[in-house]
Amino acid sequence: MKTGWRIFFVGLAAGLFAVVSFIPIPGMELAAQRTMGVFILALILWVSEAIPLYVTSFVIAALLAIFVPQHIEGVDYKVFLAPFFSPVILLFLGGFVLARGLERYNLDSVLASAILRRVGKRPWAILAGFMGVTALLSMWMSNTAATALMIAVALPLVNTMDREDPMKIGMLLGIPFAANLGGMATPIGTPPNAIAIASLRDAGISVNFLEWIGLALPAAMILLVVTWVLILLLFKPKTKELTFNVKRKVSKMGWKEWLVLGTLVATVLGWLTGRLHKIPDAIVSLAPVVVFFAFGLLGRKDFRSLGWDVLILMGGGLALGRAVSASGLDTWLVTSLGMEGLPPVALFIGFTLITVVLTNFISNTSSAALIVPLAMGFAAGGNSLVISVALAASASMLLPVSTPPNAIAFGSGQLKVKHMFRTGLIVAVIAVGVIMLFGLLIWPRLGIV
Amino acid sequence: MEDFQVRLEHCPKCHSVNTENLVRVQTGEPIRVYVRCRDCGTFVARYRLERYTSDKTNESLLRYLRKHGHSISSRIGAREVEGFSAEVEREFAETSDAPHSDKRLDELIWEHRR
Repeated sequence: MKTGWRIFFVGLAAGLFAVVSFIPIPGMELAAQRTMGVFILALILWVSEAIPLYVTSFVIAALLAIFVPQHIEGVDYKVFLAPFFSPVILLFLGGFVLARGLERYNLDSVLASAILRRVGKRPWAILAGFMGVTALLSMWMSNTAATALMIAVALPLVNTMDREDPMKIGMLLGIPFAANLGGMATPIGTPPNAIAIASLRDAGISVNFLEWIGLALPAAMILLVVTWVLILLLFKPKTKELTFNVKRKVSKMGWKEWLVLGTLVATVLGWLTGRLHKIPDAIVSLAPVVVFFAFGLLGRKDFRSLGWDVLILMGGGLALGRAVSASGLDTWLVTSLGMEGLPPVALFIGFTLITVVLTNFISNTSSAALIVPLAMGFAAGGNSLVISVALAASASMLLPVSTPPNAIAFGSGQLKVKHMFRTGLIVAVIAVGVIMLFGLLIWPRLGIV
Repeated sequence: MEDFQVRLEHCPKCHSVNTENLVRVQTGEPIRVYVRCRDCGTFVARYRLERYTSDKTNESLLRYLRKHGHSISSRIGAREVEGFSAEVEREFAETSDAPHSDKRLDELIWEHRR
């Protein structure tokens, strides 16, 4: 971004913060007013990316710590710093370390090739294989890394296909879409999920690892299958069979590889059986961190290059959410906008649509960080509304800029924006419908939220 | 001071510019490139690699993103992915056409430090 625009957006954010925070608003508590100022500043800076996203998180922490606590009884500034090392941050840290271990020892590639070698030669089966593997990987590692791996595997196949074969496009679209959808399924699949879990936890509602999978996996799977069918309909394969040879990836399974695999299995089992052993998910997440670094499976350089910027971004979002609820801003918004009596259906439509639109233009994490705190204030929507917003934040399929997996697929040079937009729009609309169905009818009946 | 400068490595012993790159890859160690004079075999320089890009630029980028897939800005991600190959080609052409500086490499590094 040119310097002039950066200065403009930073100036705009600072100016609006000052105006909203310090010009008296009748009927609004000072704490809520200051928080609204910070919220608007965060919105402008996260949407414009005038400064790095994680730096905005630090600005949020500083402003909240300086301007809010004195107006809320019993709250001191540490309340807004604590989210930066909350249990979900640790959960994500564990996820990052696991993913780095898988990548370093090539185990992700071995898994991918083991499955893809068995899918056969039919285009529909190959597409299902690619999408299934991508979704599975993106549940446990970053959507971007899963996409980068699978696009690299797919490109040799795509390059041998007939230039006029629509399935070329279908294959390149299926992978990033599957990555986005797979990420919905687990708490560590994508940061918006963790933001929702942390916000619910702050409100006294606990959703553990297994419970999140129970809530989100069915919706993610339905969307994955629907997307697969849609791609086959829109990009009908020209041939009945494709010659697809996947190189057999063999990882020399020495003690390090076995230790990585063993730690992965133990950690996942630890997450899934939290109710039995009562060890919090965040503490289970420390297992791969300790094992991988203590045994030299990963080194200092790996530690430094973990997604610390993502964790800080999440922390900022959580701090903002805490302030929105502690200051009463959420309640003020509901009452002053006359939305108390709104029926749940209207709330779900409104929030999921706004989130889906926003997430296609700014980062999924920023979208969730902005909308989840607002959704928390709407009791009529129930806690399902918050989860719906988190899943909707992953429905970013419209444009290459919507999310890095889309950008990677688009970077292959074989897609046009119209291919992605048309298919992504249909998927996004269906996603809103499926999420609403689950949010309004199914999740409340499960008794988890 | 210009935006960038280019220096052609030459052998400190025989001043030849006919050099070859030996890429050393060792488990647990950073990748190092040893530059050797093809004419007299003398050590010319050593570089430590931060990021490797082959002539298959897209493949190299995918490998990089697989490891560093934490890009949280999809806008920057899209620019980087779409423009990566073109950027490598442009910069290669620019570097190939630029006049060579006579300055020592450590002088250039110092001049262009951030």
